[in-house]
Amino acid sequence: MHLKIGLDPRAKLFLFVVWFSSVFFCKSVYSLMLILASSTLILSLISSPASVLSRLRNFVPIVLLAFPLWTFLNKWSLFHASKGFDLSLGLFMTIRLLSIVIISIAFLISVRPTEIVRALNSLRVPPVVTAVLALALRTLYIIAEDYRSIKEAHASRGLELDRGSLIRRIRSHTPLLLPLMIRSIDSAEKMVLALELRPTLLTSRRSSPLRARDLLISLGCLSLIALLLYCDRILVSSV
Amino acid sequence: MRALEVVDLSCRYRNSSWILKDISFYVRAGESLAIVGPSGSGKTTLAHCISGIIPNRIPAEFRGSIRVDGEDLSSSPIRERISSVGVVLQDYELQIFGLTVEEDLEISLREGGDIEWILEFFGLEKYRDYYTHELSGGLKHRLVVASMMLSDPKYIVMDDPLANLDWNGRRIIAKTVDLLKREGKGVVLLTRKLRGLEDVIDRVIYLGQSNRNPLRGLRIPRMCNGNYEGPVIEFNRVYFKYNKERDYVLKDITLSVRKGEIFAIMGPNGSGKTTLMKHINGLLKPSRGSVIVKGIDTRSVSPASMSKFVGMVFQNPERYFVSETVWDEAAFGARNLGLGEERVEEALRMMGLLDRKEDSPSSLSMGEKIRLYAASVLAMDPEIIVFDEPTTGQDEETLEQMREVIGRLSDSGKTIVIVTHDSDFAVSVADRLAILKDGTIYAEGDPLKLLRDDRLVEEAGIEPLSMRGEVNAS
Repeated sequence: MHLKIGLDPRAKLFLFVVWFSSVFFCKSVYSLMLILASSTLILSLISSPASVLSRLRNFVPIVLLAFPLWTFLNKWSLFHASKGFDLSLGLFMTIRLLSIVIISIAFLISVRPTEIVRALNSLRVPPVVTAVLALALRTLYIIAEDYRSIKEAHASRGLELDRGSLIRRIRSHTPLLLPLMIRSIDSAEKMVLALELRPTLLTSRRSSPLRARDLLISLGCLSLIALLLYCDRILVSSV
Repeated sequence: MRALEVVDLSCRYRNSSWILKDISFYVRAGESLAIVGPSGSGKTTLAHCISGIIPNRIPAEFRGSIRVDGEDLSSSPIRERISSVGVVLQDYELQIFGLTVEEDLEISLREGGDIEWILEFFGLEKYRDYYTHELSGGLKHRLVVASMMLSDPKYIVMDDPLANLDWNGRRIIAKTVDLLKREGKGVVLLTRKLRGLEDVIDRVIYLGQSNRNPLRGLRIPRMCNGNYEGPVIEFNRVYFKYNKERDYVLKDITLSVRKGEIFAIMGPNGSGKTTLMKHINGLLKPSRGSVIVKGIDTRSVSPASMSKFVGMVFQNPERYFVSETVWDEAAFGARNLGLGEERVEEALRMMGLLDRKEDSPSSLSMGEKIRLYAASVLAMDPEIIVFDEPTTGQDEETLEQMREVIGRLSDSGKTIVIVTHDSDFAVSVADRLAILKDGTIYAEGDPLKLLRDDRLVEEAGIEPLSMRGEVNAS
């Protein structure tokens, strides 16, 4: 059982931008932990634990790699010029990375790609820009579908794609490239024609004003983040 | 006159002969017109001329005029035409822009409209939250037509709207045409065949149609002689679902196909035909139960390993061609399996393509492309050959070639499984038929007996036999 967020996509987009930026403004590990805890709470409310864990599992290697990298190798970093071993920096950067991942997952779970396009549209982003974004999203699915069907057809003609060494697998994928490229170019050309025949995607829709509830939640969250950043500033200056 | 009028339209691409020559027709508001013609007769070119894709986007020599309610739109850009004329393209999948069914319909929705009635009308209610790429071809087609209807143009042109649709889908198109006519829209259907739409079409024009004997080339159906050997494919209480959040697509499927048999599978769109077919060579593994092919449990082997025993001939084979010559394409599978190329020559000869072995696969006709793909499968010498909807979108000439190919393969001792929507085709080639509905086996047995049962055909939502099918079967 999970919570369905009925917020306007524009409010969701706004909150995502605020939450996401706050991760980069925080200087104290404590405020960062608070952001991580709050975003984890939101994520666990809007999605099932199994689905969250399966998504997070993909990021485990990156997070595990981030900790030793920032702890031991930070002196070669372009962004931090501290010297040698720094456990607190390793911890700070790992929590920051984890927060970024969790906030992004929460956003992608709660907002459908087309809602993002609609939200940008109603925020007066030029329709051509949002249409390109929408097409890019749709094209990804079309290419993925084509890849799957070509892969199935080739496997059915004896091409072993998922066995053997890495080099052998890469070499086995070569016959997939030609039909995939031809299909992708062909699909892109025809999609442009199809888009011209269905121009509603290119026209700006009249946007309805935000509801009071959306405004209140957005302002409430904004105030909380502002308070957090204020406390963060005090914490950092007191150390 | 309130009508979409095409007057003396001629069109040809660069360096080609005239595809359309002095074509004239009209469709009035509230009327429907079917333009019927085989592959290559210029139906898609005509749709492109009406929509303005030709000459605005595809360069071609264009003569004549296209008028909507008296206004000449021949030189108008596409954007000026689309409020008057909506076009459903043959490559309809590319007209889907929403990531889910609901989103796609909302894109076309006008201010203050709602999508509930259209979801119900097109039988898409249970798919409203589905990602569009999860839908079967027939359901995608319904979605595109539904979206076009929501965008509310004065005239609607549909290019080959019946190609991927099952019998229910055709009835929905018929209902749609009827509704559009009652709402005062003019409808032009460019199609290969009219079956299922006869009641709602007001006029018919034939495009590039030769005076062919309609019964030419029909085969006397094979009679099941009962002398088959043991089963080579066995489904044992198979359940399958694509992901945990979705329902089962296959439910408790138990069936067996005997060696040497031609076995057809029919069922409406979304009934699980393609899913079932992909279990035969292990492209999909059952969630529960087992599929045993020639004594091998498909869960334990890869599809590539299974290709020694099971060959698959997919829809639109040209999408999967990888080679520059017919010979190399036919040898692709055999080379992957490390087999010699001696079978390639035999396979090409059997499919009547040996004299074209140096040609490019892209230069072949649709029927020849299917034969080439079948040759590449045959060169791997599998015992079982599976055809995925070989009849979809094919004209009568290609269907004749398909019957010929299947007949030859069967004569050489192969076991054949065919997934199809076409009842006439199933009756003309198959020994046994299974009808799927909602992921379960609804009926199984002699094709003619099953397809002559009107109640069963109606309940299963499959295409009834045509007069020709009846004649052929008798």
